Amino acid sequence: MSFLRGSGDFIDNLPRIYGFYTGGFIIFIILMAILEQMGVKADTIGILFVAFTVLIYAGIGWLSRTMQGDAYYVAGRQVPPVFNGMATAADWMSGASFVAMAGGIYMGGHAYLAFVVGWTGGYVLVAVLMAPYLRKFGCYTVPDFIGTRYGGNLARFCAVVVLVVASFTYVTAQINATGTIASRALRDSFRGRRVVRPARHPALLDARRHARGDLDPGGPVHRADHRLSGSGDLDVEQAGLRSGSSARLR
Amino acid sequence: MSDDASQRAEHWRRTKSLMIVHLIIWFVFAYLLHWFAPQLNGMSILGFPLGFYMAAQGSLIVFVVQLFIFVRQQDRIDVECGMAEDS
Repeated sequence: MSFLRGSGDFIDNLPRIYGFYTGGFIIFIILMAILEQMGVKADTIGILFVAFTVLIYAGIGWLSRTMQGDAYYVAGRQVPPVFNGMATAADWMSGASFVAMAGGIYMGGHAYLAFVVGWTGGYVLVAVLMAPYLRKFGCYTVPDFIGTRYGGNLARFCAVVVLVVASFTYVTAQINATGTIASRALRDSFRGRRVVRPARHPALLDARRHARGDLDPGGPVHRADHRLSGSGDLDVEQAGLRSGSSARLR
Repeated sequence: MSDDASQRAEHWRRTKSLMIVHLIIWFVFAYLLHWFAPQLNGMSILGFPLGFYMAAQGSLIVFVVQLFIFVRQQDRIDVECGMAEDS
């Protein structure tokens, strides 16, 4: 995969790389469909999905690693606008949009659409107020731009505070969505979990278990005896302590 | 040098008016329209109440189209005033 690292022919190769990735993704989906038809368990397919995603991201990150600021922030200013646009569009279609927003609109109705209007309209604000000047100022980040434009570290600091607060809110929704999706795929409740031991992480144990068909909401009590009945090699005292008599009845 | 300065002034003048126009459009479709959503809901488009439809799709379509138009216009201003980035 050394073609990713070349500098001169990077742009020429970009469509090929994107095609490679998209084609690989489609092939993967088809493969999963075939596996499903062949009767592979939903658990296995879920894990393959998660593993594939993680591996792809790790691979992309590793292949495009860099030590240069220019390359880190703006990909060496080599990526054509169309591809940047695709990346931005992918940002819009994030976990927060898919999971949090769909649920929010379902629960909140018309009023919740304010989020959609707000963050789509936000692109207009960024385009009108930031984009024409960001590159002309030679800055990489918004705080850089604010600091340069308004002079001084106070302005820069204010920009940083605003960014951190906004990003934190956003990342919270994002991680929540990721956790929800992962817990579906791995059949493990990330909310109900009280004990997480790195040595034998519950997700891995749950994944090994046979499909039971019950996607339970995963309260701690239920989880505990669920765990007990599934594989007997778990610590009985702990589960017994947590779920009380229901564990012993089994 | 004076030519450069006048070009900069011209660039800023045109950029500023473009910015104001687009901010007004943004304000109309981000806020103004939705303030009157209850009234607009009386009308219907594609079977949806208009106020709801504008929040769900209408405003978003306007924003996306506006972004394309804005980029085109800003690019033209940059080129004509000699401020274009070499790319």
